[in-house]
Amino acid sequence: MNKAITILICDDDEDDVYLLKSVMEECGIKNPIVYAKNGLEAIANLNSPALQNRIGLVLLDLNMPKMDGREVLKAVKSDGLLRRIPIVVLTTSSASEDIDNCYSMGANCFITKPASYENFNDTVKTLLKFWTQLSRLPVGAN
Amino acid sequence: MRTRAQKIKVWFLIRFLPKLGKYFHSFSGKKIPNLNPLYSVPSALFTIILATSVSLLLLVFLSWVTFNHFEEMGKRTNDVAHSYQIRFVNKELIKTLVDIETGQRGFLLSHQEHFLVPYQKGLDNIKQFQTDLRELVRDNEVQLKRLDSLDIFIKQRLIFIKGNIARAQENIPIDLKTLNLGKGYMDKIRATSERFDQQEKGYLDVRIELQKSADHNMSLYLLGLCGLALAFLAVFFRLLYVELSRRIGFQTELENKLSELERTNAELEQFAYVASHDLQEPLRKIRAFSERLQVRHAPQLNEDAQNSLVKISQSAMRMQNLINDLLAFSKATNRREENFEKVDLNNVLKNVREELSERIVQKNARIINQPLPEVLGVRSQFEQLFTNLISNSMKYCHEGVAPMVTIDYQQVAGGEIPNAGDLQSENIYHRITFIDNGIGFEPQYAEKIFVIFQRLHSRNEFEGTGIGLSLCRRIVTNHNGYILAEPRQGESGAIFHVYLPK
Repeated sequence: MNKAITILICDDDEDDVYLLKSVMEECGIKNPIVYAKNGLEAIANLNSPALQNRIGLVLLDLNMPKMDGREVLKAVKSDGLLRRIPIVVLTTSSASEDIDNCYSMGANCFITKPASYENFNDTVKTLLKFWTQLSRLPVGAN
Repeated sequence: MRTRAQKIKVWFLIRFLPKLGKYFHSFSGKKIPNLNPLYSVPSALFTIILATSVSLLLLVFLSWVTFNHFEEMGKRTNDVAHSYQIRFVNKELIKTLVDIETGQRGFLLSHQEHFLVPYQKGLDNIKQFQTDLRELVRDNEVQLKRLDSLDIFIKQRLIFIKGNIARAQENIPIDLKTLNLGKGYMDKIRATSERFDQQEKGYLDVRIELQKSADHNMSLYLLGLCGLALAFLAVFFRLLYVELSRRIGFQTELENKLSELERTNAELEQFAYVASHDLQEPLRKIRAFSERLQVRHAPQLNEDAQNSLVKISQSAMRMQNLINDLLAFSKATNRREENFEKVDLNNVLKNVREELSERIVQKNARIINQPLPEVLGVRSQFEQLFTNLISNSMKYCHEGVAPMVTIDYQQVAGGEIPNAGDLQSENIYHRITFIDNGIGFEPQYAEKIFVIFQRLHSRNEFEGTGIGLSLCRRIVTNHNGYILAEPRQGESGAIFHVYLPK
């Protein structure tokens, strides 16, 4: 596991953040994690010089105050540098309009927040692996 | 006559005015539509038909009377003209005789031949007048007798005239005796002709008088009839007007209620949807946190605590199912018919079989079906309906017996649907029957099982939320159909009939 990759969790619900953190710890995912309570904080983190090029995965909630997940998704996927970061939309919604909408905006994965996190780890691991492989490609290959 | 007419008038006032008053009452009063469903529509229709028939009959009678009157009038006018003609010809006859006499007199005085021209002309015409007159009064014995004597007198008179002229031509002097005799005949002729004329004049006067009075009477008669017809038309119009306003009132009321109902339904649907959605969020966390506890802190928990955690998870899971079912129930409400599409139920069954395949294999269930029809409706709702019915059959089965579901199809008339009322008796329905070999139910619960949250078994025996069959009924009702249940006769199992309009 590439420990250099930072995971950004963007969710206004502290319970969900706690659950995510707990599940990831349990699976032995030791990557550094940064939190954002809303879209504005997420964008700020993504563009922060301290974290630049370190954030390799975003777990994004859709419904948040100030700037919601859809706007974040749009902003990230239209940014020349940030667009390569995989984004997992993690939301309570299971509406097909939301799913279609997110994928059309470039989301890499859409997960309805589960009541059981047993299978959730696999998704996170797969995405981290994907990022590790991608980072070995020459710079500018996008 | 007058007293009788008065009596009729009084009778009419007593008998009909109160009823008329009823019809005209609402002209001034406020019009409140009678929303009582027991208000007899057939009686209103009967009254309208009666009023129309009476008006029509009156109109026919009026036309007939008018036609008759004109026929009569034409006949009377002819009679009057006839009398005038008789009198005219009679006068002409006398005038011709006078012409003949004048010609004779002139010749006797002057012995000049040209005085005989009117004489000759008169002789030529007189016969014709006599024949005409006889023809005109041929149906009147008295007048014919007068004509007989008149003819004799004229003949005599002409004989004398001819004699006088013959003498004059041979220059024999005038005989005063013959002259006087001739004059005597002429006087008789005048007298007879006068009597003849008087008789005809009498007839004429009577006929003119008759015509006048007939005209007058007929005018009054027609006026009366017209008035009556108008009165009936007015009543008829009033009836129609009242009936129509009543119906318009109904319609408006109904439209208002309908839109109110639609609004309420939409609100309710929205409420159920939002409530179900928002209820899921805390529930998900209850489940997630219990799972965390179980996974992470299992070593620290004693058996009692572990059991409690399992109970929490199970309850949360059951609530999740309830909410999901409620959500499906709320989504199945109020589907508009404009969203309907052609749905092949064979296709629906195929999808449902696939969806339930795991359980079918697990339960070793068999589903046998006849070819199913194509119907108008919402595909997802039909899938839900079939899923619910088939999974119910698989769920409520005997321990150790492989579930068997037979799906039968037939077309039936609406009248064959029990408790559906008469309204649809003429329509044709698709009847899709689901027959299973499960535990069935007591006949008295055939209706109860469709009520939401109603369950016949405890949760220990069979899992469930009590929404499945009420959702089925809602779906079928959305498609203007009926769903009925009955236990199988003689053997264990349940039968569900789904009626969908063709």
